[in-house]
Amino acid sequence: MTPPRRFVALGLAAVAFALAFVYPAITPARVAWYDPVGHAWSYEVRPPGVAIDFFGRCAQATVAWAVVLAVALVVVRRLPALGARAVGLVAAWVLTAIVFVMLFYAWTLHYRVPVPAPLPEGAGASAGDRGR
Amino acid sequence: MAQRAGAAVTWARVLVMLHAAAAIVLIGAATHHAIIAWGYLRGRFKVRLGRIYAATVATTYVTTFGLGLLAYPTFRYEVRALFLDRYEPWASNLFDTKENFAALGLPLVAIALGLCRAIGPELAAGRTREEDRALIWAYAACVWLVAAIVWFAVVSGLAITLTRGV
Repeated sequence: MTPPRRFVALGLAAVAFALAFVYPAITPARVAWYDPVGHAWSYEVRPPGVAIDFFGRCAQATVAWAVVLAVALVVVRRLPALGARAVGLVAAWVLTAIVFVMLFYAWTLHYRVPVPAPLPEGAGASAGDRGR
Repeated sequence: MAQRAGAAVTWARVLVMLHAAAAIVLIGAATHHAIIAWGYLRGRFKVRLGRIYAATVATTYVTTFGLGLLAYPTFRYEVRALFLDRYEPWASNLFDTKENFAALGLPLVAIALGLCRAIGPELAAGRTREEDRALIWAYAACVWLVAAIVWFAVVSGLAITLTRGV
């Protein structure tokens, strides 16, 4: 496969990764959550407590990346020659998608006010103690 | 229960040490790779080095990211939920920004690795000068963005760990 075709396939997969990664953050969508206290997984919009959606978002973005890459590798083989314009356009889309999602997270997290978990019984001298 | 949490913290500390060690290699390789990509744009092709750095960045990026993922559950509760969210919310927010940026760097690392063998001083058969130039710009942009993400992640990781580590 020629490098322009390989780049276009990888670029489209990168855009899919960025969109699948940010999707649960911009709309109430179900995603896999891991609860580090109960060591349990759930698949929902937003469970209570300190559950982590990062693993789920990474997993679904990786699946989207792999599926789009597999499809794109097949499709770009059948396209006529891809010129500099196609490479430039895909590069622009990749950078726009990645930087846009980065800015989205930077913006929303900058203004986030985290809610601390309740301290466990007798945790004052260890976990939640500021003086450690 | 407390014994289990203690073992998890000890294990997480080992993982964070390895995570930091991998990040040291990663930041060096990513910075060198960015310099090599800058050279490509100016017509100086150190192709062999470019390929070595692309492979090194890909390996250490995935390793660093994976080790961070393994340590994350312990960090999320023992450090973030119990301390940072309560006393240093900026560090909590910075950590989440860092982890999201790091994840978004993964497909860029794949692009850089996929293109590193295609770029060189010689025009490949069937490719025009404009196509080569466009590929080099695309490659360089991905490599620079990866280097920027790595620098941001390392500096913010240090700042967060100085505030409160696992």
